[in-house]
Amino acid sequence: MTSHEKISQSAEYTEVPVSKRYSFASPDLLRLDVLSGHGGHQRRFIEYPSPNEAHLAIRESLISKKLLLGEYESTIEFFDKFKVPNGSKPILHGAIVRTMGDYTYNDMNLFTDLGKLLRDFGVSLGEDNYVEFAGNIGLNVALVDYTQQKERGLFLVPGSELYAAFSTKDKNAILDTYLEKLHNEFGIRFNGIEQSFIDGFQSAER
Amino acid sequence: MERHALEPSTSNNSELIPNFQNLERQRIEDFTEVVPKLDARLLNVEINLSSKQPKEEAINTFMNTRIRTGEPIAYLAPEYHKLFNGPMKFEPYKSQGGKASRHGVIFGDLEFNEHESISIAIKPFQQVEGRAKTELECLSDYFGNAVANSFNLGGLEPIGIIDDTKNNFYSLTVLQRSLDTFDNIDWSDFYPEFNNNLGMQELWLKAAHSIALLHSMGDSYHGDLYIRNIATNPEGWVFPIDWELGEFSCSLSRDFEERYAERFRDLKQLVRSMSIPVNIGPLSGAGIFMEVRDDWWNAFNDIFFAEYKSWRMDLASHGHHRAQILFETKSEFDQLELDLRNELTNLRQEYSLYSN
Repeated sequence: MTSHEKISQSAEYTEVPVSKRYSFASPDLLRLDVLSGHGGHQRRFIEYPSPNEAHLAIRESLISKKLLLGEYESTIEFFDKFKVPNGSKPILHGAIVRTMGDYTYNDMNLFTDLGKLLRDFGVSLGEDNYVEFAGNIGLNVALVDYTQQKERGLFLVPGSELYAAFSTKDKNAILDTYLEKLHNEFGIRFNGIEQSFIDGFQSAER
Repeated sequence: MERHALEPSTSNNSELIPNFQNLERQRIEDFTEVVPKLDARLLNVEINLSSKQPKEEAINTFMNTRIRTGEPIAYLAPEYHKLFNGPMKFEPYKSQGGKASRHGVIFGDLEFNEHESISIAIKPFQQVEGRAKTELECLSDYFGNAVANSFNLGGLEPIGIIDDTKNNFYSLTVLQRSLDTFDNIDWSDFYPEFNNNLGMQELWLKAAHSIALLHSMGDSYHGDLYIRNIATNPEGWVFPIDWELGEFSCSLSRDFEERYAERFRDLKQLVRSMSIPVNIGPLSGAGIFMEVRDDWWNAFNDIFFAEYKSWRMDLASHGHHRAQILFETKSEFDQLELDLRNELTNLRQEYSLYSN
């Protein structure tokens, strides 16, 4: 037990916002991100207004493919609550990682997985109802670090289904839109490794 | 959100270490191989917080009581020793974190009793300058964390030490998956508009509190205060980690200059790792001041130093011998400001060409 956990174990039940470095809270979506519990046994929850039927269908699809962060916990007064890993964090604020290694999850791995994730998001209602992700990608995709070799480390954050927009663009046009968006959001971190994202986007399993 | 356009680069030192990929694989293979052979022994050394040198005292106690059998041994802290009563197995993790570690820290699950496991961080110490020195460095890491934890300074939870009887020692701590170190954060947009980044600003203010507290505690210092060794977590705590080179003592040494030198070294390391751009090789930093056109000192003062000073002065004004401590602290700050200004001037001359 760390010294900080020792201190906090004596505390009463609390509910506090997650530190901004980690937080997925979004005023646009009315999405909250809080740590709640007693002392050292705090759990992290994301809550947001229950989505409509179309968005719910997308969310169900993401859950069935294990692409959504955490687990559905409950719905109380039209707010859906998900329990999520305490250390999950938005990919947007991360530093550049170019290190190569069998046990290193570098930016090439991350953007390949991001490509796969957005492609899978696109077909979550089927190939004929293609949806485009219209929100900020870096703030709605979560990294869970320290995973076993075969485990997934990148997930869409609960509530990201609300950014789904039906699209009639062809796939290449959508890919171009994503590339531009990623350049704007990630700047130099995305420079030179666009191909990793493209490879992921074009190779994703259905 | 736009980021300033430095060349594509890395904030991880390991990119430029030759054969990092092979080194990482080798470390993990070595550790995976030794784990099933381990003989678990109890490491039961009480930390004496009233000692002038609690870390050294603990290391000496351990050295005087350890046993060598010629077989690989895991010396485990009491709360972990009782868990391991059968064969162990190691399953490595892939990660983003820890890649800037000087020692090449690795992470994974230590599995025991078939169905139970614990997530651990392993810091390898490989023999370079003799077995005794390597062992001492490993013990310094383990007991550094143990003492920092005892003082509530934020050390990682130590599990134990492994001696593989060949060339390697390992210091084991509990992996706190939710910890993030400052070198894993992109600071390129942070300054000068730091009032728009209140979350990031808060991290530095808390770092200032944490380091001020350490430096106000007798003779204590960290010894390796680069941003890779400052951690935060979802609760918003900020604290130094990795206390291998740290010293702790609640009593003041007689030598004011010695104390000054250690604190200045801590802050100099911090300043360097804040200042150096992200794209310049093994000593890459956070590049926080890259957008600052004038004096970097003012930026450092805004972000960290003013808060650090305020806390140090406040802490000095309490307790016994406060008149003398206040006088010494004021003198210390006169010198610190001068030396850190010079350091930042030099850093700016050296690195400002990397900015836009």
